Amino acid sequence: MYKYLAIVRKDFLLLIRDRAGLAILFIMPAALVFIMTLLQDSSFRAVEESKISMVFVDYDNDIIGHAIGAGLAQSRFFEIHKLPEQDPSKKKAREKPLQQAGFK
Amino acid sequence: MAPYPIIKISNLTKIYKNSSDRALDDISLSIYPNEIFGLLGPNGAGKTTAISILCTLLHPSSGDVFIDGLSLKTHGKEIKKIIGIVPQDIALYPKLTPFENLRFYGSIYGLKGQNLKNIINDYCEKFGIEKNKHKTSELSGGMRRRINLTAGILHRPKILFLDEPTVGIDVQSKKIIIDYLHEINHNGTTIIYTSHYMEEAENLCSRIGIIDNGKIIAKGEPCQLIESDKDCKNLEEVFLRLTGRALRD
Repeated sequence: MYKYLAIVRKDFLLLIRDRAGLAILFIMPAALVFIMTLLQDSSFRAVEESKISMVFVDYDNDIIGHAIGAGLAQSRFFEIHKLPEQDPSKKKAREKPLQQAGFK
Repeated sequence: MAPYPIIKISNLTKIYKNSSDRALDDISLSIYPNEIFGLLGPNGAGKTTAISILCTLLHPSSGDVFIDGLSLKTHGKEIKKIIGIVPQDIALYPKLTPFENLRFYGSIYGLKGQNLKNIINDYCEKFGIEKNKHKTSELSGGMRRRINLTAGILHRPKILFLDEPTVGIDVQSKKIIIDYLHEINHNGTTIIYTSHYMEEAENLCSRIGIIDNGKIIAKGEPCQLIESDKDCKNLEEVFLRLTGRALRD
């Protein structure tokens, strides 16, 4: 046990006198965390700022359908388009977001 | 009746991995208590390999070594307690002071507390080592050599291995080291010593073995070796006659 303590004491003395070693041990991980935080923050922001276009067709037209529609509308990730027709065909439902995006 | 050898080397062979050459080739040798045995040889002859095996740092490919009656193969731990090693390269931590280095090595040898401090103080006084004034990296080559030697003898070993302990130091430091080796040998320490300094070996060693290409090619007392060849006046001439003048490495 005493030998291990001697090794620990020796390595501690060597470490505190080695500025480059100390920098690698403490400053480098802190710098890495800082850089990674910046990178991840910008990528999260890019995801949050771009919304996915979505047409919500409510055939249910009841309490559950309304709740789903309201939930999707509140979400930050979707841009909900409503169709004027009461009973739109599937084809029209597919075309609506493309028209709004200017593709058709 | 011949004394019981403190080191008995039997048919020792070492072949390094990825090499077909034998670094040590079937060496057999006995070293007796209180001897200063010099192991001399050109570069790459096998001196350091032999010392490394005797110090339990390397495993032999075949053969065995008995140190104080203990087999190297089965009693490595016990052998480590009775030997001291002074390696060729300075084995000190440059960012630690001499005292911190010696305290570390002393602790590894199992010394502690005031006893360890007293031993360090004694050696520092004897070898003129400044304990805490500077880091080891800031000291002269001679001072570092003296600390390197001290680190190997703190625990007062029964057998001391010295691998070129006086390389690159001034005459004063060399004299202190050689005088101290005589002193500890007189007090009962067996010394196994390698060097390229023939004159130093001739004066220091009670017996010499000349090793070349992994084999012991001559052994005996320095005066016996010199007398065995009428054309040679000193050990250096004997050495050159036995190992040749061709460059090694």
